[in-house]
Amino acid sequence: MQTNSGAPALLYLYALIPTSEYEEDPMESMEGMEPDNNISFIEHGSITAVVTHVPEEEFSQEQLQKNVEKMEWLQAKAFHHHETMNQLHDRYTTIPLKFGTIFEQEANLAEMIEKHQESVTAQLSYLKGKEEWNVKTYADQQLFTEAVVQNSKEIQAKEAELEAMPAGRRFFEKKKMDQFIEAQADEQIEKHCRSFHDELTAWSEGTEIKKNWEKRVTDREKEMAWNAVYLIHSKDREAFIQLIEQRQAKEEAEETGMDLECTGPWPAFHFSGLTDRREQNAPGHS
Amino acid sequence: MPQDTLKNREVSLLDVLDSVLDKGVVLQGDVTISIAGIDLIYLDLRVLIASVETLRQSELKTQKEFVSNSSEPSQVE
Repeated sequence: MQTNSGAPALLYLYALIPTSEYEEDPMESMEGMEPDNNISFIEHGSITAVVTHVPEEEFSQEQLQKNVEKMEWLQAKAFHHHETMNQLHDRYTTIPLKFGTIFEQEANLAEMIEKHQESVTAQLSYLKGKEEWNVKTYADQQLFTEAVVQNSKEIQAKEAELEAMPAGRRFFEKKKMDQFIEAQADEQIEKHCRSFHDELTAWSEGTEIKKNWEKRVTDREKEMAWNAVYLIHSKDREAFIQLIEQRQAKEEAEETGMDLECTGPWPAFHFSGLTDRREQNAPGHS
Repeated sequence: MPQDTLKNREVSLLDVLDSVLDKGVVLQGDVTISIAGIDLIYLDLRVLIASVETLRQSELKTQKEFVSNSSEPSQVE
């Protein structure tokens, strides 16, 4: 393996792929995290690890912590990770590792692969011919709030009652009612999104509902109301996308104010890992 | 707008981070990065907010351009 200097190097792991697929269709070497260090393929029996060397002065635990807070650094490195993964995923069944999966020595990587060989092999076989899609839905809360009021005689009656109340009490009661209306609207939005989620799920081998991004993160007028990933068969891709396009057309025709967005195909970031994801993310794991 | 976003792989930094950084934590206020699959590093939401601001300042460029720009001093806090 090449390193660009005498400085100690760490081993950065991008992904695990089946050795058989790599041998059938070996890849030209690609540029690694550091332009001077190419990506290499290390075979461990039926599993091949896709790695590159990275300098310790940039990727040691302490340095990495500092570097990820530098936007330009994180942006360049995270996109490199993403792009590399896409190229691998285009050709091979891929278990994509998270950004920043780093080993001090090749021996540690070998040990890790050996330890998880059964799980990795099973996952590679399961993931063959599959890909991940992310679908986000943005909702116009105002529209749903209005609909809640319009559709509830109870609320309309209550509103009339409020008008007759003394100012102090009215303020308090109105606040309570607004909260009630908002909760009802949220419930409707959730129901709306979930019905589509169920449709997408019918085409999926796996799904995961993710956290919605806050407005200050998305900088959009509408709230993100649904954010989920779906593991689908690559052969179903067209049908899956069509389902989303048709739904978007329906939302527009019915003027629901819902916007759908999807991205993909992604490697199965949410449906695979070196170890079981639950295990990996367990609190107190250190 | 699906006609824009359905194009494969035209994804934002946020999308990338939401997938390649550890699961979901971005949105809870902490970003977790696993090193060697064992150690966890906690960052805070600043990373994400700062990245949004960076994105607003400049259009997304290709990864190669970022690499060539990345030697410039970073302006984050």
